[in-house]
Amino acid sequence: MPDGDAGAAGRVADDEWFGATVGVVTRLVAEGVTDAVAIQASLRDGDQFAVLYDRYAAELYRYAYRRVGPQAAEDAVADCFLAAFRQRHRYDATRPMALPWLYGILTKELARRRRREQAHFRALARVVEDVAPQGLADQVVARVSAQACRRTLATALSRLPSRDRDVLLLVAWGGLTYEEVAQALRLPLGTVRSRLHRARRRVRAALGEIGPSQDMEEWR
Amino acid sequence: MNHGMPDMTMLEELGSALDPPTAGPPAALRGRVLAAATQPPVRPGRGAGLRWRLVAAGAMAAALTAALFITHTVQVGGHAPVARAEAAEILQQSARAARADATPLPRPDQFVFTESVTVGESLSVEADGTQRTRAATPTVSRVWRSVDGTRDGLLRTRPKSGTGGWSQTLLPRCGLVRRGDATAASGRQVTAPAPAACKPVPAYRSDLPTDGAGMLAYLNARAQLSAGHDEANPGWNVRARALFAAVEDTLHDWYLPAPARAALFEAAATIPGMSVVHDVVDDAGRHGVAVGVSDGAGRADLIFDPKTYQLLGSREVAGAQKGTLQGHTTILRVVIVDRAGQLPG
Repeated sequence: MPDGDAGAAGRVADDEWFGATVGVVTRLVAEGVTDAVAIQASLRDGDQFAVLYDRYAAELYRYAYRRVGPQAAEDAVADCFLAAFRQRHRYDATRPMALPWLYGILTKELARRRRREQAHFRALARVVEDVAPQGLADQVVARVSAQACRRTLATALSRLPSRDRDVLLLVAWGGLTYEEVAQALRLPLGTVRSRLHRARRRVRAALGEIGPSQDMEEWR
Repeated sequence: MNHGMPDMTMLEELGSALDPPTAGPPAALRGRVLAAATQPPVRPGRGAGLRWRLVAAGAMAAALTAALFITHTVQVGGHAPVARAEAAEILQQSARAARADATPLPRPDQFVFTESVTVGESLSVEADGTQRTRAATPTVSRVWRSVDGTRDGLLRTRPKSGTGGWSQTLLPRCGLVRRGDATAASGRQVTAPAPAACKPVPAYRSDLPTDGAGMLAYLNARAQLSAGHDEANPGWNVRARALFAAVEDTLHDWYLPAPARAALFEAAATIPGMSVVHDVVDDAGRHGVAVGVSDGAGRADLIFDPKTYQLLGSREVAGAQKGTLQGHTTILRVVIVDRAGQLPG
């Protein structure tokens, strides 16, 4: 009997310990600690994954919306979180913030909607508006020039190879650092830099280059 | 991190212009996602995804390389790259030429006028993901950018050959739209932090270091290079390419006062592994000497006049030694003028 009691007590203790741990984790998550903790908690309790959704859905949605427009953005974000949930056991728990990981997954979801993205940028590029004649009110000029500029940029974006566009937009629109982009896309940092550089070259070329040195009239 | 770089700033502004009308996705999406997530999952095989990813990446890389080499018929001019000491010497000469430049500083109300010919890469990716090539047409650009960024700039472009007229784009002084608000639910700063309605993008930057060491530190920061955080295998050429790219970006982003320009070339002279290609001919028929950095995939060059050490342009070459031209920019003239649209002389 003493043996049996000891065994039962041991099991109870384990269960209590387990319960207490989950309780702590849940509380920590609720208090807003790291994404990594939330993801680990979600391995036992799938509902915990809602924490990630609540933290990042708005930002990811905005990013996707800019790239593919309303409906496709909604689908991409939904598919992104579903894919993230399925892969959560592979999450590298040493990374406290999950946003780069989520951006990486979202990037793959957007790649599946490349046709939609191209149409989106081309539609922007097609917005036809004449360049303002002189003498218009400042506001009108500003609006018209904004559209012309937008058109130029959208055309440039639609012509980028998608691998370069991914890097460029994760930096420009996602606000990721080079390291976060490297992490998101699982690329070496050097590759991130060179893709970004190449993409910027092309965007710059579309906007006209600026030169560093003075009058070179003699060459004309 | 993109602060003040004109193209990145404009992209950020385009982004703000494309923002959804609501702060987040439709509320119903949350329930839809979480309900679907907590359904009994169909767990994919662990290794399969990764293997597939690697195979696919390899295939894509091969396709990309093939496309570049098959379609570019423009042979790169010049002889085989030669020694590094000479590369550093050319950059030092260029720095000296810049230090000797006594051109008056521009006034805030003026414009930097730049005329250039750009030839882009002809590789493109179609809507369905296939990679296509497009004829790379040389384009002449005339751009007027406000010195202090508070006035509308102007961009005119036309094909270099043919009879096409100029197409014109105004470069608005205050960005494209009202900028969106600042923080995501996580409290993390997101892309567009500035609430200001107007964010000038100046063409002229006077606050960069004027000594080589200071400039090198700036370039390191710009390339996001720092000791010990580079990728697992930080070959010197990765570092060198990144630094060289930062030099190029800095040259193209702003009109710099002569001392900063000199410092930039001095800093560039310290980049390891550079080499020289003699007798490169650019789009304007000018002969130049190319100084650049190679890695396995190709090389990037700045091209200088061999007598005056003025910068003539830049180019990018695919293939380490005898590669094919991927893209280049020929700077025809850079002049300070009083009004957007005004031609110098």
